[in-house]
Amino acid sequence: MSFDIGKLAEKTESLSIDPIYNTNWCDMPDDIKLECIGKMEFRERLSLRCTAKAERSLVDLQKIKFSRGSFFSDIYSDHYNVYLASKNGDTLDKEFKNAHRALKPMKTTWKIGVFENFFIASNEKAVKKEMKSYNGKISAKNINLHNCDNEMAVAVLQKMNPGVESITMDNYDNIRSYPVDKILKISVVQNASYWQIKRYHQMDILHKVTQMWIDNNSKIGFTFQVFYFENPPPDSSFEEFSDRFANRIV
Amino acid sequence: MSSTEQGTSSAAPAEPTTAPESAAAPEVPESFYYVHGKDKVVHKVSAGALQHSALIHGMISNLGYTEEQAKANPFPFENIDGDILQMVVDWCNQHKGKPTPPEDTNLPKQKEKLFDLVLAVNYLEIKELLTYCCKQVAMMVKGKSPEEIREIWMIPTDAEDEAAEKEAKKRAGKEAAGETAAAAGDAK
Repeated sequence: MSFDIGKLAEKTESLSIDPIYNTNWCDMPDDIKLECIGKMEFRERLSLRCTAKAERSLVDLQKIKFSRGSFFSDIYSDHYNVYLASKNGDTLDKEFKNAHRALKPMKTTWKIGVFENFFIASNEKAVKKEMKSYNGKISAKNINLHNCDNEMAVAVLQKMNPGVESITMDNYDNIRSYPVDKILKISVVQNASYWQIKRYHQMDILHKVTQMWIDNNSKIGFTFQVFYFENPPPDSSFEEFSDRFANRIV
Repeated sequence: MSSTEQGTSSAAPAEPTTAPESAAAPEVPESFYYVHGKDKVVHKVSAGALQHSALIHGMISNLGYTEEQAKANPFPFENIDGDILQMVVDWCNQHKGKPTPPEDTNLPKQKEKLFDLVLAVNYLEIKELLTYCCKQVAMMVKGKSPEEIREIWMIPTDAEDEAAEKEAKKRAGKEAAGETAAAAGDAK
């Protein structure tokens, strides 16, 4: 390879006319800022997000991984709790007295966060209203709906991004009947490889879930569990199930 | 032009080995290249150390630069302060041919130097050092509130930003009006 003095002169000339760098965060190119944001913990990212519009847009471009997140409301003591935990053990645990105020940081976190586990426990009217009007999505691998009524359960499941692997629903109040037909139409439910419902008495769900898997040509290995704690199921759902799928049961 | 010899010395001759003679590759002397920053101080760096910089490595490969030619024509990085280039050269020498450790505690802690280093490293395309530097930048605001971050990194508020933008527009408008008036005067 021969030495090309012309090329070198051209190259060195272009190097020499490059601007002299400033030394401020604001003068850093966006790709460098993003690289730095990627190295920050979620608290610092959320703080940086509050400094200016430009920084907010940048922070929102980088997803934050959380090992756990939860939102719950206690209507008796009138308080709302937001809890976030990162993989390295950094946590944020905050109480609020108002649903709107509590859901504001939660919605921001849903926007930029990816949760390994997300737990939501609320049946409150104000929370349901906020949840229904939320335009964004929630990214979580495992979702746990605790004491969420029909409306709330459907609202949350409809907001989930694809990629949910497991869904756990536990309702210790008097809700014994989720709107199964409606829930089964939600794509994250159709694609979750594990779905568990506790304290549930409408056992027709067994054949409905099975039929949904057949219709969607779901992978072998998907699991559905449903169990009750008190009285036995009022119907003969297992018989119905085995009758319906007699030709498929091996 | 002053000169500092920052590079590592040429590799020592290899110890005799028990390998068959035909398999022993002849020892190739290490090549050195030269770089200078804004202060024109020339740094001698081995080709092995410069492997870290994708930009310089690319320049060497594309230009077919020999050592003599490199000595006569150091790579000029006029946009990088001398002390920053010195840091980069030192880092490249220290990590020549070695796996990079997960942490680098020798990076500058001062905001200005660190940002200069980040920009220089980004320009020179030194990926591993850029990763360390960005981590260090992130550490600067560990545990800080939005107000504190704004202060440390001199981030203007949205209101300040808008005011500055308005002012710039106003100035640009005035300048444009002045130019139009001057052009009209010339036409007369």
